[in-house]
Amino acid sequence: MRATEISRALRLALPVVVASLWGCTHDPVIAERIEKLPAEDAAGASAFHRAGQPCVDCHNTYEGASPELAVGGTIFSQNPDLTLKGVSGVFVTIFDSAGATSKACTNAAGNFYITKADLQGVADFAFPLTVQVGSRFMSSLVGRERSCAGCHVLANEERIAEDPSVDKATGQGRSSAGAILISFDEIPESERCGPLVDPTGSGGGGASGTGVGGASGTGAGGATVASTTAATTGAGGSGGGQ
Amino acid sequence: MSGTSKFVKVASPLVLLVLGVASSGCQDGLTETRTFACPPRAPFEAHVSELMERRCGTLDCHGSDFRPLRIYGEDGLRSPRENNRTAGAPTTATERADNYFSLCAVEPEQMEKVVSNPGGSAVNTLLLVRKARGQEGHKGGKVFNPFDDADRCVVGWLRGDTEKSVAEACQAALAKLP
Repeated sequence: MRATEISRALRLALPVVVASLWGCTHDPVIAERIEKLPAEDAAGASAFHRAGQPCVDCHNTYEGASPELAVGGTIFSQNPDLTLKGVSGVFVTIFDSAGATSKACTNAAGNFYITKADLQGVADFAFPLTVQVGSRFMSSLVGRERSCAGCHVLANEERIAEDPSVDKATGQGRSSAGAILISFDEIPESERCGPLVDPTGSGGGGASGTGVGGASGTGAGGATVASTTAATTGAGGSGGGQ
Repeated sequence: MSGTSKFVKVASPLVLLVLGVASSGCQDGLTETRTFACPPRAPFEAHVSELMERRCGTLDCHGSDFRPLRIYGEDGLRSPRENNRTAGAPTTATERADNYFSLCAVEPEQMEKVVSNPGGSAVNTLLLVRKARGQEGHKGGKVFNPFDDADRCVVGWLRGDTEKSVAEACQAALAKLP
């Protein structure tokens, strides 16, 4: 075979090899979800960014955003004008199928997360999971989704256009439970982990948590507290204790 | 050989192939319907559907428009024919009926074999059962253990157990869910 023919064959083979390798690492479902996300917050990436968006779409080994999260989400309350406001200082408790329990505390944006590194003694959660926020328990199981917003999808123009049943304020519709909402009277003292800020000004109040560290000095609530031990509830960990 | 005859020699098989493929799309019978047997509907809707809804029909699993074996339910995906929302009104009769047809349609021929030989072993070959038992690749992992309550609920219904025993197994399985 002449050198020019070899060179030509290699040129033809290169796109095939590249396409094959790309196919091994590219997940079109996640890629499309990431592409559709709104632009980054003006303040930039932090523990407070992208409230209500699917955290683990990016914070995983696929997209590589740090830290790698085991679960993540945002807790909201609804203002009288129906707009949403992140709820700070409430514990979110994850119960896995193997009996492990993990707690996280919502920060000023209402965001909470448990990193893979926070999981102590286990490599990962055993799905399905159940979730408690304040005094409320999620009525369905979590089968495999790590981002709360994977199912608790907020309203957007595309969804409203496709599905007339979508609640324009919360996003609840035929294929989404909408925003995770909690009212302040559903957060007993034992489920508070920092100063509660009631956007309606009608209740809430004092901090009960001791040592729930603020993530970046915005006041209400630390980034994450988590503890995972089989059949044990704990609230210690990286961010401070209960 | 002239340029034209060369072209004819090369192009003829291709033209024949295209015509063959095109004409196969015109064959009769492709719109015919056939009815397959499926285990009884009443016990499914009364007992089995609720377990499927709670254990399999979450929005991140089979409660999705984009996955096979679509399951509707009050805490999951809602029927597009009704205006209910997730975590809203209880599961409707329409949704339970759709769940029934969804299960029956996974492998209709295999399902008919199960129905034609109640109590036989064909039930163990169903994709539905093999996936739930973790014997076949399943993104949701192993959901039932053979002969546990959930397995006896679904498999018992499939193989024609009495409605009483199906109901008891389903209730026991539901009671164990968190």
